[in-house]
Amino acid sequence: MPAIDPRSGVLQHNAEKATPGYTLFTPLGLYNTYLIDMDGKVVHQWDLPNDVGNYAYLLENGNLLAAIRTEEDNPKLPAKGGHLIEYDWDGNIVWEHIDHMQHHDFRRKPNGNTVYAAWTKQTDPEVWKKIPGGMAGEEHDGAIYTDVVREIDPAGNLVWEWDVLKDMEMDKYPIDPSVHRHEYAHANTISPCPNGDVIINWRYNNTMAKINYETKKIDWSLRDIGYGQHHDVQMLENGNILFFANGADVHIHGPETGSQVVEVDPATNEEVWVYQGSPRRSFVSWFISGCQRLPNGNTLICEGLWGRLFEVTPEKEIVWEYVSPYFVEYEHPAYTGNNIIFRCYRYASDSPQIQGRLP
Amino acid sequence: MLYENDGVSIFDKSKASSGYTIFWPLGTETVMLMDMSGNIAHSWEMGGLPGNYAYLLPNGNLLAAIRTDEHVLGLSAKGGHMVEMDWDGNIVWEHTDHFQHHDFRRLDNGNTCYVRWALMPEDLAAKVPGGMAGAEHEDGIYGDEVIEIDVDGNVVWEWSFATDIEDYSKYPICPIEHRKEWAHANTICPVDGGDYLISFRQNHLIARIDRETKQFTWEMCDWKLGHQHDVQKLESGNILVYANGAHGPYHGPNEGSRIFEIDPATNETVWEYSGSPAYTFDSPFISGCQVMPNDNVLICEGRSGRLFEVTREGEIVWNFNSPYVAPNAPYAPGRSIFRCYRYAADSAEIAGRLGDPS
Repeated sequence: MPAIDPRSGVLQHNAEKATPGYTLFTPLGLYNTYLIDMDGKVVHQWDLPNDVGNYAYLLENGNLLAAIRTEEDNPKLPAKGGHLIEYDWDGNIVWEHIDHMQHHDFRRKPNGNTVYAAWTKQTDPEVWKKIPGGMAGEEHDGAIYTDVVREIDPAGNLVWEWDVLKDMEMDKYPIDPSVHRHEYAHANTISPCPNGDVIINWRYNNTMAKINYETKKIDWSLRDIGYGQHHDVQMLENGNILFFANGADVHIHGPETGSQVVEVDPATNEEVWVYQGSPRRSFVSWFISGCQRLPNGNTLICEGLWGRLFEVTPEKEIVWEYVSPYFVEYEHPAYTGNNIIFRCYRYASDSPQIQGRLP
Repeated sequence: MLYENDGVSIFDKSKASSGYTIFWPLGTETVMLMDMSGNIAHSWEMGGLPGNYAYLLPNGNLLAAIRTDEHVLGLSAKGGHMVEMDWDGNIVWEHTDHFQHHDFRRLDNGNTCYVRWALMPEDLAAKVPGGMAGAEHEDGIYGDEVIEIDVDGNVVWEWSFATDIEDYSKYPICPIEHRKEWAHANTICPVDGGDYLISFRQNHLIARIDRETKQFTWEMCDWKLGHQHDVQKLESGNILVYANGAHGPYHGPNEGSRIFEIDPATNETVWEYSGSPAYTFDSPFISGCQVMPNDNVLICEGRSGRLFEVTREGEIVWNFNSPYVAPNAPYAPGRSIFRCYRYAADSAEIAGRLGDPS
């Protein structure tokens, strides 16, 4: 029995300050997406055919968009998806697209297109020479998997593609010297901005960046080892960038570290708001995880490693806190014994996502 | 969401190894000896900060290293003033070496050994491989020496990583570590024959130094040690080490610290402990381990100030989360503990001066 807080379900709820609504999440290793109310009761769910790669979320049309893992073309890397599926409220498939190399993230754009990250397999040593950094000789079974961003229309036609090998000055963003060369560079977030630009976040080269949609050039980036790698980078309505700084000890190691949720002004990359645990060790998730700014200014945080979802006010007060009771109790290759959650979202009852279908 | 409950959160009397646990929270000035329920049974006010811990000797006295303010190099775990205190805090022996850091031990013959920094000559510093280019100390590179002194403070044996080991190229510093030190020795452990086990952090290296030849007669230099601490030799001849797991290439579900028991004849791991899941046991710096009389292992998961005891089957039978918060930088607001030890009530160290520890 590990010496962590063993409680699960809703640990606290300040009904006056928390944002009313429903919280959506998919426990990794289990095949269900759950919508829970503020008391932690499951009020709706979707039963999925396989693991997610790496989560699911509700669209403004009220449907669920998910990435389901396929077994074909398996590169044996984390967060493989492959089958993008849009389900209606009752679980019927209303749209789907297969790209067996899809991983981590995928989003529906307002124009109806879908954008996602995918691997391409590079086995040519001449191409390897162009990929900077990382531990020499540590490629992945004779390959390096490099990232592309693909945008498809509803019919599945590729309408835009951005490729690290063609469109990026990779030498400016080398893989961290302590990391292998399995991937350039493990994109865990693809987040379209209101103006069409695309935010991308990579783990292995400690880089978050914004790709200008027209020119395909990176016109903003942030690289700071002190954040210990990051997830769920997004642009807020106010133009600031919000992200989950994992605090993984890639370089840093003490005396007391932990994760953070950080809001920066991209004009200066200065921090304008930061949430940390108090003590720091009470909020730490070295991988996955996410954050969502809510309409009232609160922030919903997914501390992924612990299946802990909690909402804080701008003054850092915790006003809702939930720990997932859904543990993987069978022999899973990665997640046995865990209640890990990649990302979560809160939707109000009258939001386009819920559309009053729940009270 | 780690370790929410302070104090002793688990105590299985039928399985835990009974005794008193000594620890000195980093950034504080008090060494504490607590019973199995977390009550402080005895303490010593040290008048200074740890460099880096204290422990009890078989003669019942406390041996400690206290940080001095002279010759501050800006490197971690500085000590400088080694003291032996009796039960009431009177100093009965002391030795000052402002370059002492991390570890120090009393040998059976009454000598004391310790690790110290010594600035490397430029020609040797230029040979140091690996680490981040340009990340040397402003003075150059500080090498590690092992010094053994007699009770009067005379140096009777010494060893230098910089000058006694010629081939540095076998032991490159981790690519994301600085080059201020060659190579941040965090453990010195006297073993039979006057030999020493030593642990270097920067290059994931543990080795046995032969007293006569001053060469390594055993070594293990391996990323999987993850910037290890507290290498020691067990009665069986096996090596026990706290493998921190720092700087792992991918921080996924299976990363974390490990305790490895290694057969030095083959360097194979014969026993290991990891958290379940692995990330529930993780301290990328400091930390230690001690085998109990009943063969359980007491573990100091240093970063979070968590001391816990596991059976060889991996069951946690005692767990303590330190509530003692460091008041000042650089350790505030943490509860970090470098190393801990447990002594039975009837051990030579406690010698019956305290009652039943439960």
